[in-house]
Amino acid sequence: MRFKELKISSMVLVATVLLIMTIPQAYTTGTCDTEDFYPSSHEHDKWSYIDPSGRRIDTIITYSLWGEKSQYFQNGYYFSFDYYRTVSCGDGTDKDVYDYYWGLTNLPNPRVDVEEWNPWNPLCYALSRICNEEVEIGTKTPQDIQTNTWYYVSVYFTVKKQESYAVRIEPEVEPASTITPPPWEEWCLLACYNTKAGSSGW
Amino acid sequence: MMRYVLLALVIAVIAVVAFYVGVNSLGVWEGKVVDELGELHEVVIGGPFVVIKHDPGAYQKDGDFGKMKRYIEARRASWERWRKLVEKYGSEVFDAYVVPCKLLTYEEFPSFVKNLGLAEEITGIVSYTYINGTYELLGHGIRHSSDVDLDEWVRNVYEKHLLSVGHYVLSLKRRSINGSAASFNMTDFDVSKAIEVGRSVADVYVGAFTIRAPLKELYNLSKRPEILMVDTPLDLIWRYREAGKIVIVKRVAFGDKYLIEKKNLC
Repeated sequence: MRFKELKISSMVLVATVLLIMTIPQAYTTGTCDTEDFYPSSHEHDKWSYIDPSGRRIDTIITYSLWGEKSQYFQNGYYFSFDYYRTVSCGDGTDKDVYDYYWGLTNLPNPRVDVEEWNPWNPLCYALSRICNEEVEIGTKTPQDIQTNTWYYVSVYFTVKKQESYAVRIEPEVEPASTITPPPWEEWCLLACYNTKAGSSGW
Repeated sequence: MMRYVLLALVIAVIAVVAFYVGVNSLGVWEGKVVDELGELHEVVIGGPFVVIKHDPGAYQKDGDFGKMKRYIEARRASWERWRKLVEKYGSEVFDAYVVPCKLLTYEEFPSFVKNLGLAEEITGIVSYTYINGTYELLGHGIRHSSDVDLDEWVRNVYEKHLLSVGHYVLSLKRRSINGSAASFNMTDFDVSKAIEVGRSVADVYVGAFTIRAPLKELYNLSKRPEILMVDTPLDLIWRYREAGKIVIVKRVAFGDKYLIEKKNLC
């Protein structure tokens, strides 16, 4: 009897730990529930080059301009662009072709959240979705975003494999409350390109 | 007591499974579909919607000019073959990828678009950059709303592209990236200098553009002498439209080089 209770207690403990670890992650992953935070116009460029130390670097630059303020551009929210690497624009399976290296932006009060596979991180084994080949770059104070002003986000990746992949560029706010019905991911995409790591252009 | 523990356990397991499976992915079908031109596209079906990820890249990825030419001819012919689609659903709006007969300068482009009556419909520009003796396709500018003034937007896309070129050249010159791995910096980006450098090393042209317009307009555009190709998967649109679905076409291939230098291919 005691052994049984101990077993159940252990299971409850494991489940509770998983829940505690999962719920905050669901929160930080964010929700795409509206298009009103989409930029009015935007541009996405990709360059590949070899740096002096011999590493191949791919740079993705996003330029964005908002004609009007989103309902989410206020205190208490984060706004970010997700640079998510997957097998293709139709298949959301992770593709590990890059490691995030560096970022630049003129967005106010910038934030970066790197969610990538790392063999040394035990959380990647326990909760693989937090290691989903994604980097989020944005602002902690979207209320400071000015309309009719160009903002850039320049992301540098070291190339691990010169293979085909898709880059999904997804704007998101955190936290958001309502959820768009399926196929929700299609509405969330700002742009998606089936391209190749280690090459310039899309 | 035991019952509550078990209930908590079941709820916890359901929550974790739902998170991993993704509640939102339920009821969505994703797969690959071959179109009449032999191209493979990914398709997502969810509720009343069908999203076609238009990716005719197979003709381009190996840089085979003959294949590319055959694709253009096949697409031009398909507009006649699918007249019934235009007649039945001509007023419905779809996205298309448009290739002009030749490269256009950014100065020429706004009047070119206005002459075609597409000032409101244009949604994107694909830039060809002439750098180091070759044309590269490096960027894609997008206009989400026709409220954005065309001339101003085109000017901005041009400038942003020069900025990227300059940024790239400066990156090459930089002895090492200024900062340690996985660091973040918001200061090391001299916009004016990068534009100036970009202008000095590269010429940027418009090689293709995207529009969102009624099928009838897309058909008429495909017949214009200034246009090499209006590309959208007509047979797939027909298939899913006839099945009663709301069809959305999203282009996901922007690395296809259809134009050669400044030659007029029409």
